[in-house]
Amino acid sequence: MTAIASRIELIEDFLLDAPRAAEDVRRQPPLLAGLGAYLLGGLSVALAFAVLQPGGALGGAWPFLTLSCLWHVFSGAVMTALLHLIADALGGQGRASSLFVLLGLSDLGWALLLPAALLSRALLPGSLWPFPLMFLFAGTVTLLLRIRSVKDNYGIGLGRAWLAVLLPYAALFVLSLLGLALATWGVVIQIVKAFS
Amino acid sequence: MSMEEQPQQTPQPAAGDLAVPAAAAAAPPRRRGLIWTLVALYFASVAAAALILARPNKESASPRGMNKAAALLAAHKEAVGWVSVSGAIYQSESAGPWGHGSQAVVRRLKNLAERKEVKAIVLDINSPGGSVGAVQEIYAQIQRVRKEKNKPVVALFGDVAASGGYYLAAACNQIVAHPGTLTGSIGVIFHVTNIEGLFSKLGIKAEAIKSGKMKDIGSMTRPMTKEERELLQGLIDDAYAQFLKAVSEGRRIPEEALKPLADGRIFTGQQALAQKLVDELGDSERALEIAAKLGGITGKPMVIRDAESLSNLMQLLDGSFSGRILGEAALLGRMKDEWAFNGLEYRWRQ
Repeated sequence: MTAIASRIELIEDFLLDAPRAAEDVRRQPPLLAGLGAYLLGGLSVALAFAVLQPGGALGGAWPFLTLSCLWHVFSGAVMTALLHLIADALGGQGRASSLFVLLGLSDLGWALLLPAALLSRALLPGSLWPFPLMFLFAGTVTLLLRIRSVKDNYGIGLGRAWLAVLLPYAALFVLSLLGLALATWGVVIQIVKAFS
Repeated sequence: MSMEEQPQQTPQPAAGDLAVPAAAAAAPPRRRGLIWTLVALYFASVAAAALILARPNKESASPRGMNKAAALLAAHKEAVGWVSVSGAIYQSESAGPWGHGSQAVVRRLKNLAERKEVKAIVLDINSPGGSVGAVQEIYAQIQRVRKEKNKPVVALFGDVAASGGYYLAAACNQIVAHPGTLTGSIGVIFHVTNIEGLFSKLGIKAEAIKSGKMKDIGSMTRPMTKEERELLQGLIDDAYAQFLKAVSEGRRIPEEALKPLADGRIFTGQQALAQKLVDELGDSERALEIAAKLGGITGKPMVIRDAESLSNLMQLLDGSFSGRILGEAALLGRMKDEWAFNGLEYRWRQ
């Protein structure tokens, strides 16, 4: 029980007293708690989707639930690695393990989706339009928490923290554009070959 | 986040039950109630979601609880599947699961037959036939859909449903044709091209070293021997007998009565109706109506087309793309189908 209470206190600090939470995590990173936070984030997203899905049932939601949880843990690990490298390059000093935990706690932002989905289902049955808005809101909260986590963990300024967090997304965007351009080029080549 | 309020602790049964230890008590008391409430609310949400998802979801399956497309699908719990067989029927050149040709038709039939809401299937045929193997592959799948899935299949003829196209229709419960559809051409063909004269003009002489005298049967660089012709005729006769049997069984016409019609001649839809080779003259709407009726659907049925949107892209990436992108009507595709294929064909040759 003590362990659970201390983890909940950690979440409390993370939400309301971020520097203190970062300090606690830096001292002894509670990796299991971080993992649990990622899983809760994944669980929330999957359940919110399933609740709003017309005719959705738990049977059909299991694979998505599993994938969602795995995705959150995997992307958390990848993001930790990337952000650690970027923050390091930007002059920050901090441990990757504590960033992993803090990013996991940031993922709890997705937990907002579930009650929002339930409320939406109760108040606006049949309307799916609130879901993208909820998703955007929860995603923005998570992103802001991530930025704050990077700032607190590496002791860098807010501007650098923003830059560190947004860089991987920007790189992904550029890579996607590049992939799309290559795919389009491939199609054009095939069409030209077919006609020649 | 405006979470700083709540300075005093209100009695919280949930929090009280979970005897907060010394470590937690050391934390600022102003916030403890808030965080425990948030945690409790979150887990209450998880429990509520689990409860909603665990029970049968009648209410969310109602048209009110879903978007337009989903509501349409729910309103029409029963649908008619639609599969198109267009162009010459050959096996795909691609070994991948996305290949076109007969494999794609079989896959689409299978996918639609697996769907609970699909009660019947319309096979929209606009084809002069194709290779024996490819045609028989689709034929077998149609029979499987009818026998194993108990789903009726209605054939709809477009411009042409001849030879192999007709062979497929013979496996269906009913055939609907336009009055001007070209159909029939019941028969088998095997093409051999002899370019010996051309080769000799060019000074080219081709020779084959073979393990047996029949190994290069159908060679285009020498005249066909009598023995080879007899052997090939045997193959043709056998494949023809299979065609006759399929039509005779499917259309319930005795083989003897069928033979005079099965010399390769073609019919219009109207002539075919008179010869009982088709059941009705009509259009796609009529075919849909018949399919719905056979499938026990009341009212206007919803149509589900198994379009395989990724198939084209995958084949494109596969590299076996060449003339296919131009469609079957394109010169390249036609040449490929007509001359590159070696084997028996249930195909009408214009």
